Amino acid sequence: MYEKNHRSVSRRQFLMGMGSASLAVALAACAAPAAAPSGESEGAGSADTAAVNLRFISNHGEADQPLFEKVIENFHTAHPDIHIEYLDIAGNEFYNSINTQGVGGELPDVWYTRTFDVPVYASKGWTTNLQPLIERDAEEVNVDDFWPAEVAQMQWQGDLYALPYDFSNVGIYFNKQMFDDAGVAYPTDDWQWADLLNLALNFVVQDGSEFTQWGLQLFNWNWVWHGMIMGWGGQIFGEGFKEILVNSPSTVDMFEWFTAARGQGMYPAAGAAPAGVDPFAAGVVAMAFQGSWATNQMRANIGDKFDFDCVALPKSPTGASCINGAGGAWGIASSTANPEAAWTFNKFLTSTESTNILISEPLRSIPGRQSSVAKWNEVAATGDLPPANVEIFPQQMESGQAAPYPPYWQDYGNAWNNIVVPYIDGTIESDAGQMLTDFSTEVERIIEQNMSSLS
Amino acid sequence: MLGLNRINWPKSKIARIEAFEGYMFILPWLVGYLIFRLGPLLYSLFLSFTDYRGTGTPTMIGFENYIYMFSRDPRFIDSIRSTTYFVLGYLPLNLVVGLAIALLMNQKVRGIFVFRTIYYLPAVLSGVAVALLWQFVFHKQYGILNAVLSIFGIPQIGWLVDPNWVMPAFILMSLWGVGGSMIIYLAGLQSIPTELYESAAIDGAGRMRQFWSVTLPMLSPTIFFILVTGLINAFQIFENAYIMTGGGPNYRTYFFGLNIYFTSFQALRFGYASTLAWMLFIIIAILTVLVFGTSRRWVYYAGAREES
Repeated sequence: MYEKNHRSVSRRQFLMGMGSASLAVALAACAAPAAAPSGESEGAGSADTAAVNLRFISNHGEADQPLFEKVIENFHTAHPDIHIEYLDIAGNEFYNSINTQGVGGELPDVWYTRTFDVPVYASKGWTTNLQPLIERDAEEVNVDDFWPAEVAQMQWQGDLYALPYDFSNVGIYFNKQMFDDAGVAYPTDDWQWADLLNLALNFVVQDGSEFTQWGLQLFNWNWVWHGMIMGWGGQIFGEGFKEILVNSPSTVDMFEWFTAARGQGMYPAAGAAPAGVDPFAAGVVAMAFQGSWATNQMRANIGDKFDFDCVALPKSPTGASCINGAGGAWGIASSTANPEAAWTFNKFLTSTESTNILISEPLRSIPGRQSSVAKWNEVAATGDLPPANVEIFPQQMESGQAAPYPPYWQDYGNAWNNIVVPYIDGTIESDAGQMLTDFSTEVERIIEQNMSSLS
Repeated sequence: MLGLNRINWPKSKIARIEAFEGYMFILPWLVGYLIFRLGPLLYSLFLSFTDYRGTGTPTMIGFENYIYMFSRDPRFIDSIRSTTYFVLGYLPLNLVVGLAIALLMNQKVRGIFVFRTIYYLPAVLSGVAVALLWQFVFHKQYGILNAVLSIFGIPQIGWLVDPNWVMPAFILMSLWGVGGSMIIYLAGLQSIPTELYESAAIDGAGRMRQFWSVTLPMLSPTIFFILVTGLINAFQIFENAYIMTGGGPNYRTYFFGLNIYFTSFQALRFGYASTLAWMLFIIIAILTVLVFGTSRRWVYYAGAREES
């Protein structure tokens, strides 16, 4: 049995006391108020007359950070009462972070929303409807200065939910050295896909039943293929994104054409090209289907190995443009405590001057403002680095399709990657019509799941 | 069925005081468990009966998510099929190969520790780097695996791009980490009393007989442990599929974990993702209970008392 303990505090009591104290500390730490997001506790209720902090997040990587810092520095000079806290989250972790913040109600005041993300966020009520603000500050914003196709992509149910950063489309880069060695004339901007195939066949090298060199490096990005589907006379979505219309004879023809072209070696099947290397930079393909944003990256990858240039994306057999664009834009969180300050910053960020700094001067991609194209062309013309024909990217935008994106874009992309991509890259030998039927069935299921956000 | 002991509640005052003190000591852990484990668990159970997409408040929809999952979601079927395929292919091989390597590593050979280290090393590597490494190994034209197979005249296999070969590729890749099982088997093998082998030898048992009649029964608790933990881990496969195939080609590697991830973090359908997560939990729980239930027939505990 227990002996009476004559000490003032027994070991058991001491241990219990320590345990209770630890528990109290742990509970106090858990119960401490979460650090208030910058800007939301300051200035709340007194709008923008007091100094405010805005959180600003981009998804661009190290190379672009100095450019954003320069723009922010300019903004601080012009608006000393508004402080920008800038954070760049590179890669796919950006989406995890934004989604987590969105669900937790802690979205940054201003953040990067690609045009195919605008309907996704707008349909959830995460981004502010900018239409009233744009109409109020119409002269300063000047929507006419934006690319019409991008305006369509930044809208949700008729209203704009973001301001543009850049806009991109795809062209064909070609290896001039390979063309010279083969004695083949360079492609021109006015060509069709059949012309590309004929050119590509000059570079195809076959070893038995396997190809070891191809004419073209082809990517299977859905937003780019939408342009080709529409160029071939097809459609993607019905009114209000409540219907999928991609299963049509013209689209079947398009996919069958590409399958046949792959069989002739126009582009590599899945697993055929070397892994871990850029086939175009390595000289394994003579041409590459790449974007306007890739100019700097191409220069870095290729260096002085060979000279290259770019031409327009080929047109469809009917001569229609196959261009579809997608771009970056900036949204304002609907939960921001400083909507006016965030709007002031967003306007500054997307002004011609800022766009010149962010896009035109580094020749990063196509500026989101047409007024910045002049600066872009000026920089492109003064440099002696390839590609020489870089002006083709903004020129293509004029004839580009306007293909807005649905709020279920992420699910749509998942279905595209699992059903359409295996067909394009030859993973699955299937009939194009059956593939499109399967794809349409899956998208219809996705539409059914998302009907509440489409109403 | 599970052989749980009867719980005896404290009756005397001193016993109740001791029990109270015991709970006080584990209270910090208990509070943490309730807040960070059980709380979110129960909230996800609640969410599984709602249509919650990250905005506003969850809307109760009853069993609609569960009905949809069983009747109208082909991706659920894909994830069940691919996960089951993987588990049935990987788990038995993991058990057999791990034991085989452990038996080899249990030899009294000079420098055996070097081999044990070599076999165990892959088990401590994980993540994106390993997945990328295996992408190179499995490359159809330039991968080392096809290069070795070509020596024997086997044509190139599109390991990660051919729907028929992608699952064997994942099973093969997962077996690379069999060193973890090997170490546990090795500990089990070395705990078998040598007197049993000596007695068996005296009775005329050969090596194979000793293996079936001494080694395996004495190792059965270890096999049971590896089977249960392997089952739980195999059902939760996610990382390699996320990095290497994204669930493709054609949903052939659309594992359950991947389905939950895409449904929650891409589609932001948290209610339905919670439903999927609870279904995965139920499946794993049922299989674990089945394994436990059958364990009385084949798991031999040397120190266990015989029940009357």
